[in-house]
Amino acid sequence: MLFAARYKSSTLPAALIEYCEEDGYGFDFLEKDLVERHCFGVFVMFAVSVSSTYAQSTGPDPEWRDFFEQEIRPVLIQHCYTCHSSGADPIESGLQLDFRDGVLKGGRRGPAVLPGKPDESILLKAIQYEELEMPPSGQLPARVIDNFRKWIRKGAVDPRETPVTEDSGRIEIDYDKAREFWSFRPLSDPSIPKVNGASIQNPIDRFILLKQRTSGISRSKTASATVLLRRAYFDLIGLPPGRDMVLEVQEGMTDSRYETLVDQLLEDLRFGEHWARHWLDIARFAESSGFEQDQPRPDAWPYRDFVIQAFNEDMPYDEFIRLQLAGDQIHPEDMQANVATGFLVAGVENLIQSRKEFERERYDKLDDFVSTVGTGMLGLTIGCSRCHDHKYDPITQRDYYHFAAAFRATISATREFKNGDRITKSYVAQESAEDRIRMVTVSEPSFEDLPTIPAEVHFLIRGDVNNKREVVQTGFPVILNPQPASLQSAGRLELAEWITNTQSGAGHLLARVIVNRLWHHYFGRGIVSTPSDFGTRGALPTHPDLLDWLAGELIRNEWRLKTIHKLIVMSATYRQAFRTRTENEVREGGGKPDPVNSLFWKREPRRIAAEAIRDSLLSVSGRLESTMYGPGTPDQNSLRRSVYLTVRRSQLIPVLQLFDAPDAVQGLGARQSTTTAPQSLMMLNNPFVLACVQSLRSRVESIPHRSNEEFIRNGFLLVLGRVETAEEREIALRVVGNGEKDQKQDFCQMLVCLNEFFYIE
Amino acid sequence: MLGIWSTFFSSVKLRELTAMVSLSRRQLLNRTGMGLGAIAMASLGTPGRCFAESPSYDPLHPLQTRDTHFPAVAKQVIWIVLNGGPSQVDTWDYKPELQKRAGQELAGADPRTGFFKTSGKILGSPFSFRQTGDSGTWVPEIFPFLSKQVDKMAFVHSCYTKSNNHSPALFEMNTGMNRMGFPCVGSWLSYGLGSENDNLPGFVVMTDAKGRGLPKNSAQNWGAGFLPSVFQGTRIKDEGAPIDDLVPISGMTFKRQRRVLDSIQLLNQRHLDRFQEQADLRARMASLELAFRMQMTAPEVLSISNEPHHINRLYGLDDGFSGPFGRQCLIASKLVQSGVRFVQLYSGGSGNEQSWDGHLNIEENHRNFARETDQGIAALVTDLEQRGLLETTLIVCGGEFGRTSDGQGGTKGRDHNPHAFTTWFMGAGIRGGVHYGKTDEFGYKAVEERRHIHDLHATILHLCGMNHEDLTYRFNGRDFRLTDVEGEVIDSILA
Repeated sequence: MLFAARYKSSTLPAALIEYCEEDGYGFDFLEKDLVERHCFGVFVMFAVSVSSTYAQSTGPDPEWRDFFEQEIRPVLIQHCYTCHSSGADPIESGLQLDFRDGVLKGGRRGPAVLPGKPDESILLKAIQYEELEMPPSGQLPARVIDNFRKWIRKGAVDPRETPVTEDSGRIEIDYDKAREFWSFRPLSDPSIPKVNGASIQNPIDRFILLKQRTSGISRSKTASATVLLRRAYFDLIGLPPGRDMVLEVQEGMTDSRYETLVDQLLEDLRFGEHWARHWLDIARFAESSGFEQDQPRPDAWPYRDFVIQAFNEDMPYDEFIRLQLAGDQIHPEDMQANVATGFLVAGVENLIQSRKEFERERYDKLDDFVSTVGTGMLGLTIGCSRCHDHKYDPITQRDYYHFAAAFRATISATREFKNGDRITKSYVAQESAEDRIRMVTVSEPSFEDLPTIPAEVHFLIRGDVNNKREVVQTGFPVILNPQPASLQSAGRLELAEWITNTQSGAGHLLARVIVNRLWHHYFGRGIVSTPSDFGTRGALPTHPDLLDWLAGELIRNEWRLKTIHKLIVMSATYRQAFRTRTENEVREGGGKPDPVNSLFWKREPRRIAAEAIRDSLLSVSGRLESTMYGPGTPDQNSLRRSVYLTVRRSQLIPVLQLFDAPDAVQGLGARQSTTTAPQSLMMLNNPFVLACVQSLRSRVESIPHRSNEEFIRNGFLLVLGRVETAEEREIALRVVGNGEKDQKQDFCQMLVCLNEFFYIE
Repeated sequence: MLGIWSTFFSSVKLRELTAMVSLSRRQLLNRTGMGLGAIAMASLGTPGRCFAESPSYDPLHPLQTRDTHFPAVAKQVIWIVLNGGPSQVDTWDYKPELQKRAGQELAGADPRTGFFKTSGKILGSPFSFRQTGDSGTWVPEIFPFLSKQVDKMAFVHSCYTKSNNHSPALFEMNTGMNRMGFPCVGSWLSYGLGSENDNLPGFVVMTDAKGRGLPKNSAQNWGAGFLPSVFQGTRIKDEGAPIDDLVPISGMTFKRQRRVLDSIQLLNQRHLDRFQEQADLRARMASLELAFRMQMTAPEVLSISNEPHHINRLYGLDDGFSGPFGRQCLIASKLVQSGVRFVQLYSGGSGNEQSWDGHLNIEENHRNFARETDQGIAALVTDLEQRGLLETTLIVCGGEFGRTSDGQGGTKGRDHNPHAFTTWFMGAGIRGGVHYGKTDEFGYKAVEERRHIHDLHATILHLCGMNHEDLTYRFNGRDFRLTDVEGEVIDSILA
């Protein structure tokens, strides 16, 4: 009952199939399975026809019928149906165990069961591992084998009249219907709503306003100049504005001044540093292999620099994607194009492998490629189809292996590139030269002896490498690829073309996903609030027309992301101030309240990300070093921006971890934002924080001031980007007291511990 | 959602419920038929929503205590990891055949079982065994202290794992998956249940007491995977401040810190006045107060300097050999007394032979590691029992895999063996003296009631009041579970 309640009744059979397909033991018996398959011919001629009514002639005994239901049927479903049922493809040895006559008639070896004669029944011999060894995944417990013996002895009562095809087949997808789901449709070409309002700055506002009007909700007013300044700085470059800047806009900002500011920030090189970090989350980027060895990847940093540079130079997004998937093949001689493939190989890899597990780990690696590309670029959880058809989305297991086949020869390598007279090493993806994949290990240094497997991808039953089916060729999910073209020697290059192609590929979805990611980072929630899941289990877009319009704008503007950045930041919607729920109670049309702000009628203060917190501490204290690019350092006390910290997976950076930096094993589109005591402990006692506080005190002190009041003002300007209120001044004055060093230090620590330091309005 | 279910649960006898929960999904389907499932769905009255909801996790109060799915027997868990893979046949899975046929060919030996190459020749256990307790449990000579506790222990002899390699196997033991990136048991429990103690982390880890390094995979073993990082394990360090940033720097007094804190909160209050309704701002204010208190309470719990003499003696703290691990067991006891949800202790460090990874000489290796840990673990049991805490504390002890019954080629040691190992349970909700599952006569492979790590995890969650199928977290579009798509509670070891 507990289980049943988990599913809508209509999906129960699918759920059953999935369960049955996924259960099982460790599968170490590949050879035995092969032996069995190769030998079946010997037994073919033994097929004997027996009365298919034998079981019935003994009378349907209710007791044994129950016995069958409780002890036999579940075992058959779990351990046999995958290969021996009507839905299996192919049906191994022609044996179907999913209905009575199938059992009695048997397969190429003859009847599987001779009712009443357990010792002569092939089925029993097979599960006893005599002659045959079934199931190949491991012998069934003795108790189960005994049950089969009893069952056969008592006449093999079996009520199953017909094959239960839906129990063993795969889910049929009605693609025409599935393609009606919003994210699989081509981009619509929505007309910009004709609504009028004094606040409208650009089309974004019209889409937003239309929905607010129909819901009877009114937007908030425009935020003050100092608030906008701070917001734009943090959102665009991830750092606070300087004191001069704050003083300059204090009296207000004209629209054109704001636009100039936005343009400057978009051209600021720190823009790339900030936005690269968002992409590096999606790329699960870190600079070590993970697992036991967690071997450093000292040459992985060029990929990080590629991302920073691409964002700064506004590389067209489709090109950005193409290079990351197949830069080595698109421009084989170009260093940056090769470096871009660092995306693919940024994931984890076990460098101490056992021979037994080498092949499984190869498929894990493929899974890492498929999952990261799927969720990161397409917002599709293709990775969920490794062992079975996708439970919710129209993606089949076959789709998965076709997709994986694009990476069949992809391996990681450290290559040297000549850049002028400089040689740069970079950790990149490339195709295996020998068309084989060699076991990667540091535990067996004798390289010659290492096992290899052909560079090909098999369809794996239940995702199990000991359950291989045919080799599959590259292909793309049918749902996004209605008319599959035949691909010749297809691989990553074709994937790169297909995924960015807006005519016959996944380009529309690709565009939707990225504009939504931008929106997510600016507003704290995407138009689709699940930025890495655009499937049926993901959230629906709150403003589908706006999303499509933005995606269309991106494509129309040659995939230049800065166009979208600017549109968003210039919109009145983005420029709103906070307002309370009560302030919004007076509604124009008396519609429903919108407490979660899904209609974007206000700005909510948001906690800045871990990197921005650390960078801000360095920035306000004047310690931040602006050196760009090059190798990073694992030392969290480094004075460079956090994007240059070298994350090793076994030694995540504590200061960043505390504020929800990812573990960099799977791609991540939306970080959590938790509030915990250790974060506060860090702000109170951490040596790095305290060093920043100390520098901050010196810095504030160094600004000419005639009184403690002026000292306080400078502190507020530097740290919070605004002038203090009279009340705040009173409180601060008590801390500063008679202005001793410790007291000033306490004042500075107070400033960086304030909620306002962490939350940007 | 949980409300509906607690009403539901109260109307069902706990025993029946336990029986229901222990059924697999498949069994349930077969026994109840799908029709009944549909009825159950309808009776919930909330079509489209299902029970598999994530717990009501609040990022602002992530460690707040949360409701269990059904009444919990275990409030806390101590997991003692015998890191490196102890040999089942030299510890708790006595195989007289092994002694008798030492040196002979091991029938069915598979050279791919171990990480290196095995000899195929049976290696007898170097230890003598005797039967003890009412349960008649065979105990090797290397566990003199634990031999007195066997009637409280439930042994699962038929554990197996999918990997024969430390790193993936440790991931499998901790997270159920032999790949990286998944949350470990302690993280799942913290996520599902929250913490009972505001002033301490909910999930604490202690690594090798003798400074032989972290286990393989190091901190990745207690990572939160895709769960929020707040649920990751906190490793207590042996040197310096036991927890990062716990101690104010010299020159800073609590009084001075409090004064600054008061001003911070005054200003935060002004800020909050402008942003009413923003719960996160309130939460951050509370977290500052909590942090301030932690500085005083946490060191007290983590210090053992004020423990009475008889406690020191019980844990054998004066013995330089077993004292260091004994000290960790004592701290584990204190953490449990303070309401810490999950404590994980690692015996053994990173290298082969620096842990229970006895490739070269199983006798020497296991004699040493047993002596290091035997008294401490037994003392922990006695201590918790005397405090009445063994009833609510679950103790789990085992390694990431077992070892081969044949010797490793050219050594007196044994290689890795994923096909069989023993894990024992004790305390809350456990039926003592039970020997569950069987390996073959050489202890080489589990043959009866084979149990994967998922089953161990399902059992732990069950005892903590959580249905392993319903403790889920959605990440990248999928509802993940600790037990993936498998796991069955091992009823036979439950009281």
